[in-house]
This record gives sequence, structure tokens and C-alpha cells, in this order.
Amino acid sequence: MFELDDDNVAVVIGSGAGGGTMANQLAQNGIKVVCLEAGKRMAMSDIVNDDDVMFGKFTWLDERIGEAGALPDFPVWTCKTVGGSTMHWTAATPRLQAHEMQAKSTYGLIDGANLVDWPIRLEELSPYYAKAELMLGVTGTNGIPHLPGSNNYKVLEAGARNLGYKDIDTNNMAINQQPRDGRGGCLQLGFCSSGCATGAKWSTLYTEITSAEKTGNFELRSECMAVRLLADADNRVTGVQYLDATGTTRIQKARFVCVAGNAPETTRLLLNSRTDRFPEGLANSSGQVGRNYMRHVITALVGIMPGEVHFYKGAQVAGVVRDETRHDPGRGFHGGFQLHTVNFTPAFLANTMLPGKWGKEFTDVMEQYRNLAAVMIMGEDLPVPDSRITLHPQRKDQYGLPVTVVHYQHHSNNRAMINYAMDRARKMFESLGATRLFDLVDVFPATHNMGTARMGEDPATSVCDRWGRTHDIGNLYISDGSLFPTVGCENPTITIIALVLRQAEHILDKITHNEL
Amino acid sequence: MSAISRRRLITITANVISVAAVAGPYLPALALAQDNRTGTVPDDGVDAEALATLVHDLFPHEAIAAEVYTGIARMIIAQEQGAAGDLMLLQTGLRQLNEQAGGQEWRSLDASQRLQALNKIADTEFFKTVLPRSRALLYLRPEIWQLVGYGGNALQQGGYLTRGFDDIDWLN
Ligand SMILES: Cc1cc2nc3c(=O)[nH]c(=O)nc-3n(C[C@H](O)[C@H](O)[C@H](O)COP(=O)(O)OP(=O)(O)OC[C@H]3O[C@@H](n4cnc5c(N)ncnc54)[C@H](O)[C@@H]3O)c2cc1C
Ligand code: SF4
Repeated sequence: MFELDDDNVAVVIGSGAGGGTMANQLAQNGIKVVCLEAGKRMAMSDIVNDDDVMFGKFTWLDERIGEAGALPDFPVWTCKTVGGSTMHWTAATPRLQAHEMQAKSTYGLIDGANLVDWPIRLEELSPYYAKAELMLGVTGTNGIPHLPGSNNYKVLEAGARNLGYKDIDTNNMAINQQPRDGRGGCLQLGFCSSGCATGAKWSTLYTEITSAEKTGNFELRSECMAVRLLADADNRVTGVQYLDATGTTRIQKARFVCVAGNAPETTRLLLNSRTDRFPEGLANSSGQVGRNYMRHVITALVGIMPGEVHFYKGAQVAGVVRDETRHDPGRGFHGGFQLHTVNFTPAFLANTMLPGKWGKEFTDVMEQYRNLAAVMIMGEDLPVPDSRITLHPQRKDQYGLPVTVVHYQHHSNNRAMINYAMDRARKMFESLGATRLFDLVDVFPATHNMGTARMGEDPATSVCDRWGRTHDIGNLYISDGSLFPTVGCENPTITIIALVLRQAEHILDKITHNEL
Repeated sequence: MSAISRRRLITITANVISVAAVAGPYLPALALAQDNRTGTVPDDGVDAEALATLVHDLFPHEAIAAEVYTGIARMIIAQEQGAAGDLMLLQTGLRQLNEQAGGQEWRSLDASQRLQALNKIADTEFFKTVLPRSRALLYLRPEIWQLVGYGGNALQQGGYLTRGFDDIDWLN
């Protein structure tokens, strides 16, 4: 549709939460957009309720290497498909809290943590959160009722009340209870993380992308992998080099570029786009690209309860306890954590819950699957400079690009938080008569990827400014979780979307004033 | 797909997030294994029945039929054939088991003797490979799902909205 040498188009890289949202905002406002997406486009009929089939269809399986605290073979779990990881996501959409965006001022100096305050405050982001919640149809906002509670939620709620917790509900969810805005209603299928067959769960594949297409200003190029950003001597991006579905190298010229590949891929693209002026990677004069990688503290507790739960039934994370999200160093750690529902298939549990065990002691537990309940802990992860995404010096992937290396170092704060949080979770389940409990710690690949191109006022210590524009390159924007200076304890996507809505407004304003 | 990347996929899927486990259509070797489930035993020099007994002893569910375990054994054989290109690991491992069986075939021992022998080889590469592999494959089987009470796909039936997602009755 658009010519490769049309230097008036905006190029958006990635079609997930960040890229899909940005592309639609621009297209709705008359800007021509080319969206490069490495993955294939699926039809709704491709979504089947089978985790393994879907894993083969849309998960990012190109090699990535994990080091230190990251899982070696599969350090991060993202999607490679139109819609990005909004196909996998479970659609919990809590906002950050004000103090979490002022982490340095609130927590003080912490050894080993590269803590900062965000360059913007919550009040500045709030209107965009509101806009995002309306756009996604988030339950518990805009007069949209909460989802009904599943059995697993009821277990969580009862246990939480026994411990005196009060702030408990079925979570703010980007899941329709009733059909809304072209999407179906939730049938409580329980397969949210494998693609939602009813479209009840918000995914850009069937919302932002299709809306953008209706404008006539938008061209999606799926199976097109961006391999390099091209820049001129004036520190401006001039275009994007990519490999199309046939493996042919193309260059799309660009007026400006928004990168939303999810932190590991956004980092890789910047690091691979070296120039004479930026020998360490484009927009990396600070040396901060790839550093301060955060992924949240994530563990789970599974309990054998005194009666049947059938926790696989129902929207997976529609249930939360917020009482521990506060900052209270008296608990022995900084930052807070959520307790939320989660469920697992027999296969997942078999492979993670009883490591090294076999024989009857193993099968006796598995045969009590009906009685299992589970809770997940999601806590704040502090920025550690050496938690870092880099390029492997030798290994190349099928595109000929260096393989991503994810080096994740636990800050000592993590262990203190995990010990406290798991103890609370155990007490919750014990108060209901759980007969056995199983810890799932250090078994999850990262589903949230943040921090590797942090925003800040100072170009020497941050990659992007308060709008998510790179300090070094005036027409290069980062539009994903890489921007987060700190991460709070909330799931990141609604914040990514709010930041992108704010960024889009800024870009449109610049265009109006002929400044971009 | 190269042998290395096939092995890598199997490792990812078997060891890391078994949501992934191994039965995806993207794994050619496995498609082969599934074809073999009801058909002939592959001509590979691996004692599939002994391997099936091993899978059973690792994960003994009384209500699960022997054929299910045999199916898993054949899939493992096909995976090894596809991934490593040879079956040395399995052949050697089963031989080691027989060596622990005091001159008999390990498979023909009684259950407690089999376990004793199995415990003696628990540190071998063979054991450490077969354990996670069989686990990842077995717990994807519909027979197991039925046994443990996992309903899986309920799309055709209209989901769990009207089929018990909120019917818990033992909480007060
Ligand atoms: C199982 C699971 C559950 C989750 N649950 C939640 C939840 O409940 N709540 C929440 O807030 N978050 C959740 N998340 C996280 C959420 O999915 C992400 O935060 C969100 O999708 C990130 O958006 P993004 O646009 O940055 O990246 P993505 O959505 O991952 O999109 C990036 C896209 O860019 C493409 N791409 C990458 N590099 C290139 C390139 N070089 N060229 C072309 N295309 C490229 C990728 O193929 C991909 O499609 C979950 C994630 C997973 C995996
Ligand atoms: S539980 Fe609801 S949101 Fe999740 S996959 Fe099913 S219909 Fe979609």
C-alpha cells in the first residue's frame, strides 16, 4: 500500500499492546503508518483451547539465552504474532500507585539498586489510564461491573479474609463479561493465556489493528522482522531495514519510528543498529540500553484443599488481594506485592511442582488435581544495573541476528519479599484446611519485561525523555515496557498503554507544530 | 528443523514450561511418534515394552491402561531418533537396568524389585532424560486428564460459565 521510499510514513515496530495502540492512534488521526510485525497473522478460528497447540502457533520460540536468575533455555515468555503478547496475556490491568512512581524518594537509597523516580507523576498519567481503561473495557472502571468469581477466587477470598485482608475483588480485568465493542463475553473457558476464542479478552489483533485498518491509513506487514534502524549524520532515523516473509531485505523510509518489540527485542534492535556515532547501539550514548532489566518477583503457591476446586475453570487471574501492595519496610523489604489467582494444567504442575520426584508419591499428588487451588505472588522488582539484556557474541538466529542474552540478577530484596509473601499465602491456605502446600519459586519465565530503555530527565543516566523519545535521536520513540524506570508491583500492560496514549498525543502535537 | 533446534525445543518444552510440552504439530518427530501409537513398533532396536514399564513405574496411575504407557515409550523413542539421530542413550540405559536385575530381564521382575533396580540407576543420564520426557508427555494425555479431573477444552459446550466455574460448596 505505502511505497518503501515514502518518507512521510511513521513506522511502528511490533503489533502488541504498545505497537498496536500507537499504530491505531496515529492512523485514526490521519498519519500514514506501516507496522512491521515479525510474526504471522492468525484468524480467530486459529485460536483453539489447547495450550500446546497455541504455544506452537504464536509463542516466540527463536533462541534466547538466560543467565544467572533467568531460566537458561526460555528466559522470557512472549509472543511472535500479530497482536504480540496480548494473545498470551491474562488481562489483569491494575494501575501503578503514586509512591511506586517515586520509588527513590519513597524507599530511599538501597544498596545494589539503581533506584530513580519517574520523570512524571501519577497525576500526569491518570487521564491516560482512564482513557486506556475505557478503550479496553476494564472491569471495575467506567461503571463496568467486576467479573463473577470462580471457585479459585472464592478460595482466595475466604483465605484472605481469614488473615484480615480487606481489599479483595475479582481484579480490574480487560475481559468483557457481556459482549462489548465488537468483542464477545467471557465464557470462563480458562484458556486466557492461550488466546481467547470469544474475544472477551482484549488483544490488539481484533481491536486496535482492525480499527486502524478501517482508516485506510494503516498497513500491517506481518512476517516482517526489523533488523536495523537507519540513522543519518543529523541524528535522525531515516528508515528501517527489515526482512520480509521471503527473507528479502527491504528498507522502509520513515518520518519517525516507534519501537514496541517488547523489551528483549527492542533492546536487541537498538544494540544491533550501530553507527559511527553510536558504536554501542543507537540511542545508547548513556550505555543504559539493556540495563536495569526488571521482570517482577513472581512465585506461586499450590495447595491441596479439603474439597474440590476445579481451579482450571474460569478466567485465570480474575481475583486479587491488594492489602500487601503498600510500601511498608517494617515487613523487611521494600515495595509491595499482589496476591492473585492463577491456575495450572496437569502438565504444567507435573513438570514444575514436584521436581525430582516420581513413583507413587508423585502420582498420589497428581490424582488430587480436583482439590488444588493456587495463588500467585507478583511483587516489585528493583532495578539492578547488571540485570541486563545483551547480544551473544557468537550465536546467531535464523535472521542472522545475534541471539539475545537475558542476564537477571535477584536483588536481595526479592528473597526477603518472597519469604514473607509465601508465608502469608501459606497461612491463607492453611486457614482453610489445606492438607499440603507446594512452592513454585524460580520456575516461571518472565512474562513482564521492563526497564531497559528507562525514561529520565538526564541523558547521561537514561535512554528516553519523559515522552519516551530517545534523548539521542529526535524522531525515535520507544513505546513499550522498556521505558519503565521502576515497575511497582502491578502488571505492566495498562501502564504501557497509558504511556503510549500519552506519547501519541505528544507526537500528534509535534506534527501539528511541524516539529517532527 | 535441525537436530539441535529440535532438541532445544524438546528441552524447553519438557523442562521449562510444560504448557509447552511436546505434542505441538511443529515437532515433526512427534507427529511420527503419534502415527506409531497404534501402528507398528518402529524398527529401532529399543525394547519399547521395557521402556513402557519404566514410564509406568515412574508415574504409576492404577487406572491408566498399559497402552497409554506404551504410547509414551514410543514417542520418546521417536523423539530421540529425531533429536539426537541415534538411540544409544535409550539402549544403554535399558541395558544398565537389566544389569541391575541380577541376570533377569528387568521388565519381568516384580514391582518392588523393579523399583530397587530403578533407584540404583537414578543418577544416570538415561534416567534424568527419561523422567522429564515421560512426565511432559504423559500429563498431556486425555486419559490422564480424565483421571485427575481436568476438563480442558470446553468451547463446544459453551465454556464453564454454566458448567461449574463457581459451584464450590465446602467453603463456609
Ligand atoms: C502468559 C502471559 C500472561 C500475561 N498476563 C498479563 C496480565 O495479566 N496483565 C498484564 O498487564 N500483562 C500481562 N502479560 C504481559 C503483556 O503481555 C505484555 O506486557 C504486553 O503484551 C507488552 O506489550 P508490548 O507491545 O511491549 O510487547 P508485545 O505485546 O510482546 O508485542 C511485541 C511484538 O513485536 C514483535 N516484534 C518484536 N521484535 C520485532 C522486530 N524486530 N521486528 C518486527 N516485529 C517485532 C513481536 O513479534 C510481538 O508481536 C502477560 C504475558 C504473558 C506471556
Ligand atoms: S476465561 Fe474468558 S477471557 Fe479467558 S479465555 Fe475464556 S472466555 Fe476468554
